[in-house]
Amino acid sequence: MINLILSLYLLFQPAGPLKTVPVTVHFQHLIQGEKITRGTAYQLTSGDSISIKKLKYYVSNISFATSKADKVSSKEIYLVDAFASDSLTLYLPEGQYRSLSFLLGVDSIFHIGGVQDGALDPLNDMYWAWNSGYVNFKLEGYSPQAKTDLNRVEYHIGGFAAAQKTMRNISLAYEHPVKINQDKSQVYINVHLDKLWDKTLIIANTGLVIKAGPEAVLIADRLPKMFSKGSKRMY
Amino acid sequence: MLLLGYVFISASQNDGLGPRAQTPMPLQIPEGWPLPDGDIFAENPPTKEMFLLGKKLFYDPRLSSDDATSCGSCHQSFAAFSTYDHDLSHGVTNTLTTRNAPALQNLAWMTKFHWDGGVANLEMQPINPITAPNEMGETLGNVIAKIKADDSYQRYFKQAYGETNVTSSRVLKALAQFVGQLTSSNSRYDKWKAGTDSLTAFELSGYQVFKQTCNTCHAEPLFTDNTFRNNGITLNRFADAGRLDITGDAADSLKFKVPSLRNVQRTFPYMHDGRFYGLSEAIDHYLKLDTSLPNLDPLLRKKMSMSPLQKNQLIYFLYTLTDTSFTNNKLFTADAPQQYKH
Repeated sequence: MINLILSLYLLFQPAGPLKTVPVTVHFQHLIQGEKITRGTAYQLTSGDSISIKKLKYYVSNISFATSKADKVSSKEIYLVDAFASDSLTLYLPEGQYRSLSFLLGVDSIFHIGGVQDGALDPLNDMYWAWNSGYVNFKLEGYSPQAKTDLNRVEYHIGGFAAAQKTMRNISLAYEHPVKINQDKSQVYINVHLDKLWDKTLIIANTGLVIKAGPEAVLIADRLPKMFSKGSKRMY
Repeated sequence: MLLLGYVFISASQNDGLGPRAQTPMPLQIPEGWPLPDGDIFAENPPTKEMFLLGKKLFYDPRLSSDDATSCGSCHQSFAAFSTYDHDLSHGVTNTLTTRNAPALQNLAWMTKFHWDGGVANLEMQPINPITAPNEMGETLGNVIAKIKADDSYQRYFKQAYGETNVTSSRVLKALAQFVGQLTSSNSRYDKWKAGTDSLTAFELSGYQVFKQTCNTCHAEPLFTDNTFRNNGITLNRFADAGRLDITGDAADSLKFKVPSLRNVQRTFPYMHDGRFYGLSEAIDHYLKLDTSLPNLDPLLRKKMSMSPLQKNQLIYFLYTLTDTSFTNNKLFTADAPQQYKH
């Protein structure tokens, strides 16, 4: 239940009360700088091509820090869906923020925990039954290079224990502070999907990764590369 | 305060379903048993009303794609909630499982579920049999839709949760309350330990054999230490490597959960694939075991031996672990006769 209630806490309480304002964080899913749409074939920088039909992942432990290293964190867990809900809203005290960090995936406590509502509801198609836990990152699509049934590409990146862990911390620093106030409360994060693949990860060799283990860890290690700070709405 | 508000609002709506009731139903820890390692009800305080909702769900065949296969189809009360006399269980559309349905008993003392321990939380466990194509073959979404469409559930949800809305967490928490309360602790062995019944000299001799050969893994009073071990069972036709498939650790090859020997007379056939039909065969497995097998549990490296008489004594002792007050408990058995379609 606790993760359902948007809970904000100040680790370093600044002097005096600050007004909290809503902030919308937009995740912009791009291939070669272009917004992806479902089912469209894209040429990747790796030379492979892909059409994506599903792209969902968990974002949790979001934390904003000011230049004075004051940190504001949210306990809320969000499920980002590139084709349904690609932004999330949280509440922050007004101020200027230098960096943003979050966990791509959910903490192991939820992988072994009891049933949850909200983003972690097993109805969201992100729960893995045979080996308990959540898929932290899910990408499905098709590629003519995939040597799989129907040329499908499926990366269900899960696994939470020790060597199988696939949650990754992502930190984005902003050179110019992001002003969060009543007027400007939009934050952009670009997700460059083509950075997932290169010569060391080609679709012909890696079409299906649908269980925890070394292959899933390999992909998990590459996921943070895709995320970068954005400065404007791309679409 | 919030709760009082709930009841007041419900009553004022006068929907004929009555107010939310919360009759506490704490887990009973039998005399002399250890406390469970975790608290399966920590986030799911047990009440009679949730237990009864869980029971209705457990015996509802509409939780399956053919509307004929309930949890209780394969977890039969008279078999200590295993599948009686079946090595493998029958799923929807003439499918077979690849593992023997384990008994559901004393789950509150268990921290990992399934033969391979792949399920870490009792509340999440029902998703596996519900969605497995060779078990109940249904989606969680469809299950919720069917329950929503059935008026007979409204009263149960109202009493358990204060409102009739059906969610996956409500369904799964209620199921966890039912199966989590399935405690078997009243066998003849237990009564003998409590001093209210006696065992025969033959059975007592069997107890000595048990203590010398079985008690480390099948530890009293649960008759399992709930660990995963390689007991020398060979790879089967399904290439089922057990816990290895969960952890990815080669050291876990062919490790399976040590099952409890409680009600073992009713839980045949034995082992994760039901390969041994009787207790005699299961014991013979250990007596004839090749102790040089790779990755064999260290405890089994030493050749096990017992005379035919001792083996019989052991079997008769194991029969004293049958708990008919558990298998016949009206609180746990189906309220209406069950159709076993398969």
